[in-house]
Amino acid sequence: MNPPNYQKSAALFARAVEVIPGGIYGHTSPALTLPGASPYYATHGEGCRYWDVDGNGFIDFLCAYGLNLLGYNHPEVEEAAARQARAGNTFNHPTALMVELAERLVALVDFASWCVFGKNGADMTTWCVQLAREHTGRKKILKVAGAYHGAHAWCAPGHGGWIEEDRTHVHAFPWNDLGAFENLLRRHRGEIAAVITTAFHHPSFGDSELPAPGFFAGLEAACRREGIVLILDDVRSGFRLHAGGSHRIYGFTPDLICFCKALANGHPISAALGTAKLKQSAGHVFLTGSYWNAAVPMAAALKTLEVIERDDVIGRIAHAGARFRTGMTDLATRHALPIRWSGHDSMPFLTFADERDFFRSQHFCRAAAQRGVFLHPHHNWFICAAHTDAEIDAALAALEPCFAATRAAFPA
Amino acid sequence: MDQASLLAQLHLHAVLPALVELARDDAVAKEIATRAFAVELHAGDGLHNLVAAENGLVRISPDSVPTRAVRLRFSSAAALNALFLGRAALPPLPTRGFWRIGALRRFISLTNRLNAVLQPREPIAERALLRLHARLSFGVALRALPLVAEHDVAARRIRAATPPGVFSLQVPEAGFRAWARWDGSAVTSGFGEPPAAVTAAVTVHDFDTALAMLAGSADSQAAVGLGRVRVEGLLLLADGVDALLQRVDAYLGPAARARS
Repeated sequence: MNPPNYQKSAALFARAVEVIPGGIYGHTSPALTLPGASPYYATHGEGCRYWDVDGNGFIDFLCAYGLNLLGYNHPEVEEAAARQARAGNTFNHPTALMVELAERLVALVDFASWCVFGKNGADMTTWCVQLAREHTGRKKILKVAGAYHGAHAWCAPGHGGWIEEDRTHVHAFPWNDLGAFENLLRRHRGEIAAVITTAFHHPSFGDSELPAPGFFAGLEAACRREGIVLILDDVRSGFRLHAGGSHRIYGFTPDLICFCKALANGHPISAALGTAKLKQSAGHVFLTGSYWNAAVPMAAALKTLEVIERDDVIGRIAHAGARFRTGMTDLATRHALPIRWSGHDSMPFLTFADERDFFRSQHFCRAAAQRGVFLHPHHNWFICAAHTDAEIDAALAALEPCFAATRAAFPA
Repeated sequence: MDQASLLAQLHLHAVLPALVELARDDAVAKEIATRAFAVELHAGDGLHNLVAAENGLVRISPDSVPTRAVRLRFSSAAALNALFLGRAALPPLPTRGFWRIGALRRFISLTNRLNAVLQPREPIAERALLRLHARLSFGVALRALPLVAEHDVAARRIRAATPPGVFSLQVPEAGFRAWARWDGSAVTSGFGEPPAAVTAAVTVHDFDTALAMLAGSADSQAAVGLGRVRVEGLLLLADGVDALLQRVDAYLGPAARARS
């Protein structure tokens, strides 16, 4: 195969920078991935592959940052969405799909008795924080240091666009560190409205970390004892670890859970679900957005949820992820490249051992893109249901020379 | 430290040392520095530095004051800053060597030349002078970095959120290479080869982009995407240093000078 060229991506980007700050902003900015060595603009996708404006095709292990759970352009989901689009997307009122989807999600999530919808993960995490404050009458929020909960002022990464006062009442503790958490509890006893956490720690620019035994049990017990609302931000891992919420595999029960990304296989919708005791307070916290009742994503979500259960998607991506893990660790061993493989099998991440600066990761991922496999050097990867054994094996075959090239470029 | 004092520190320890390289690389400055002079600047509270010139070389040395040095005492940090910003203020009191008018004249000529190179009123057409402008300006910023990271409140917040490591900045066309090291307790910086393995490396390949960075008009994300700036390694460190440099700009950049 010919190595990709990115002339059309570059030309589009040159136009973009004239009219768009940064050309492409946010998490998809080339500055955060592999500038000049991976596509900037996509055209279409199918299964676990996508193509860029230059016609380069990639086996994709980023899955649109987790949106693609069933495969790009999934026929049943797209048919359901198209059918609803023909009937109409936005009206003066919600459609019946809103009720149907809320019922479906409430039935799936064991602790939930109600559901609301938004568009993005941060719509839900921020609203849940507001809800916790409304319910408890308290100000403070505890979060895990380095965890991403969206791009709103209370939690956005980066140095710009927020002021000290936005975060006066937000306090962080290290993942898996119950001692530090307890210290914050003691320091702010009676002031803490919520603890917000992801199901496992998957920070950008770092290895993923699973919960240590007793970590979630400790958080949950403290929250129950102190009357604190426990929020599970399942935006990234929702519907990849368990169809009913990722708390199910880690044996704890939050009060609120936030979904987005995989919920509608790429269609824009997010959801938050909560316990009965929070329902009245939920009604007091104004929640809306111009497109938040849109029917097309709701139709797509209903179909996605149907396929997840019918096709054992959770089991399939776990199998594919395990196959990928085994293959990658074998290749790394064969090329004498010590790696750290972290995270859950359906959301894995690779970094190179004894390296914190990502030079080797960047080299490896550039080489992977050259050979038609898209891997992000700084952000956890995602497995989708279209990663069949054959696709995983094709990716591993393409990646073997990348390990060799990285070994050669960074001799011990 | 209040803002005026920090700005005075920056003028004394980040801007003034640019005279050394200016005299080395600029014929006009070298000529001015041919005849010896020494001027000591004092603004109280430990705010002082010394500029000495001889045989076309300039040295900056707060701890080694020759007896022939003229001592200029400023009434305040703000008064010293006014001198650097070309603003009207209470003139400094020459408390020693005030009869050495020639030395003062040469010092003023040299600082005027520095101003002309660092902050030209008209666009610089000559490529070599433009390269010197870039080299000196980046040098001022890198020298200012540790001071701002230590004393500016917003910079301390940025510093705390930045992972430690060694940052390298290269502008090949300007012949500039510098580094900054954040070890978790302090930021240090220097020029030339970094003192340890680089954790994050930024190379500005496009000279116009380098000039835009200095003018505060660069879109850094766009520049990276366009391949004009290459960033490798620990992006969070590079991002943190970039944010710290923006804090430097808040004190020494064109917008800051305009409102001072």
